[in-house]
Amino acid sequence: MDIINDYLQFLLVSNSSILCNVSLEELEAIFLPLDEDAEFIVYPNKRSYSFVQCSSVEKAITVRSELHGLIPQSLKNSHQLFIISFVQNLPKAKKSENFRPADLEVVEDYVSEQIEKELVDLLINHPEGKLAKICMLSYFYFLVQSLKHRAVVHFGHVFDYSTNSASEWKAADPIPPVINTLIDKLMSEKYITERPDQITANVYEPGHGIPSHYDTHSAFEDPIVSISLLSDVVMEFKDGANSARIAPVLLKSKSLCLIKGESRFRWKHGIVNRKYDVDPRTNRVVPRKTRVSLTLRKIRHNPCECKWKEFCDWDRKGEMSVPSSEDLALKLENSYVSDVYENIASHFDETRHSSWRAVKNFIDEIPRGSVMYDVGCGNGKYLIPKDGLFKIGCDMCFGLCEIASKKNCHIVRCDALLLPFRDESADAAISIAVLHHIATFERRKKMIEELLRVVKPGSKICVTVWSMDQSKSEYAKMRGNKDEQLTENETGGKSDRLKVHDGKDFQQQDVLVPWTIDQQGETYLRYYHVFRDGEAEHLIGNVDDCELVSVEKEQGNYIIVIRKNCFSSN
Amino acid sequence: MKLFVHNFMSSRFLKNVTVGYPLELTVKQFEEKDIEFDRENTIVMLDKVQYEALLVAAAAVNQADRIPSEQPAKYDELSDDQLKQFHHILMNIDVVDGELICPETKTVFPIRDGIPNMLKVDAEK
Repeated sequence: MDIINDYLQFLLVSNSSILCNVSLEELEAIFLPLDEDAEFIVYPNKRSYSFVQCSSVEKAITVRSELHGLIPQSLKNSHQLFIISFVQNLPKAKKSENFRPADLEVVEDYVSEQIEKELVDLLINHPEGKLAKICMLSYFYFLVQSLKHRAVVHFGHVFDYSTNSASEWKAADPIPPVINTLIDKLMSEKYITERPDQITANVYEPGHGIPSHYDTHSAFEDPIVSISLLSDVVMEFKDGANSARIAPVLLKSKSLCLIKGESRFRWKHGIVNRKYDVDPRTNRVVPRKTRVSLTLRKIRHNPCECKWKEFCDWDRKGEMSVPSSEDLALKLENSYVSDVYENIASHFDETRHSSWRAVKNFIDEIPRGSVMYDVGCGNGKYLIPKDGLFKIGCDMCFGLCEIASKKNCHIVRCDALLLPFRDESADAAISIAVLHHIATFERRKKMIEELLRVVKPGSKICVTVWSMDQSKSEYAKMRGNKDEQLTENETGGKSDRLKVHDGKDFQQQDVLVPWTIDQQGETYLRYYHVFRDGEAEHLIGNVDDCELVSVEKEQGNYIIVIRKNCFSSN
Repeated sequence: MKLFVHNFMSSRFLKNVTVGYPLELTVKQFEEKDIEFDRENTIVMLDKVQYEALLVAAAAVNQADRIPSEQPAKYDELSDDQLKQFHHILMNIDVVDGELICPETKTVFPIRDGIPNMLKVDAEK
């Protein structure tokens, strides 16, 4: 954003957001008396500033001179000065903050006041002491007794929190008539096709929420039905493939929410611990009251077969396992490397231009007039520079071959493990960010052997891979604010199951890393085997006829240089 | 695909292929572009190429008569005009549509839009 010295009607007001305890209502009370036609752009989270569009440049100058450098007196909870600058433009409306996950359905006013009252009465009279003392106060109900974090009552079956799975169900109180009537209504209106048999009622006090989570795939059928009573609340949905994609959804009191399909299987949902919400449609503050939620689920008795298998809770008959054989590795590489690159080729080209320093140094040291192969050349960024080398690139991805070919690079389409070059025909080779897409140790070894086959004895080869440790990389910085707290069942290190990478640090070596084309959510998952410290040394140590020259770390990558022996050991 | 690239390619990666070189080349369509000639560059490049394969490539576009049928003893003693003929074969000719064929197994690899597809799985379909 350009902060400028010229006077314009657009103002950037620092320390003026919800994060700084300043609501839109308070901003209006401060600015509108100075410019009654001022308009506001505010952010519900993550930003500490707001924008004000004044009706004229003169008004903007007045507003700024009145408020800049002050804490307006009407603000009780803010302790930071308003810093006001003129800006060139207002940011484009952030539509993405107003999207919903696919397949989510919300029906407002689904439950009548009468049913709401009956449901709440039912919980008041329920023997579980926690819910005992709710009394009526004016129009709404309030809890007078301080409840623990969340008060819970189950009907039908009791969900055993210690296992998070469907295997441990105990019979609970029978489903009461008022809830059965509600289920009849849901069935007859075709919102659901199977009768829920596990009902959970939760009471949330203002300030209390629930951590972001998936309803375990294999535990319940689709959909999950959620009914909100007594208070509005904002439920946050987070894309499992990119936790920076957060969709806040207002669930009004008496609304029906059907969490199904993508919104159930790929997105996590949760409620932030706070006493107010910001309506995502108006950016207005909505205070929370005591809220009762009714969750209706059908217990699943067979493992989940959803199409969001990467996010599923089991290995899907081995399809989501770290491959243990050549055949499984090939299948995985086809689906989660080759096919993905074909889909993202043009977007990949738009985003891949800068060179790694260590790779550039490697190329600079190759004598002019040498022949160099670039295996997995992508959009051809190392082939383009005219550096006196004869360079031939190859890639498995047809889309990237086409892109590089249009840039007048010499291109061949092939498999990195089956190079279409004659033995000992090149003076050097590079393979940048390819080896980590190969899914077994044996195949990674084979790829190195194939690179060695096509270069002359004594030639050097530069291979780069992603490191498991991304602490100093641009990628990590980029994703820095996307980091998420680890949930309990995510443990680091070895795993037999491929997992969708989320956050900054890799939790395991075999991962599916999202490639997001835009905020509208076109996401592809690429398979990576990220390297541990010492793994490059181990791999090269297992390959004959070569020596390891160096392993350097640059921005979350290992830059591995090897040399083919001058005399074969055979 | 420039004919220069053909000189480095082989089907050695196929099972039971021992040399796989030079690849047979059939050309259905090619373009001739005018890439800038550089004497030193051309000599260095010629030192890298296998003459036998170069003759195969030149014949595939019916231009074998541009270059001698025997490899010259020393490239740096050739005149600019002679070197330009080599430059033309190696760098100016761009095969747009054609086939590369393994000399041992006769496996066919198509060239489309100037890009040879050397994927074994595609060739075996």
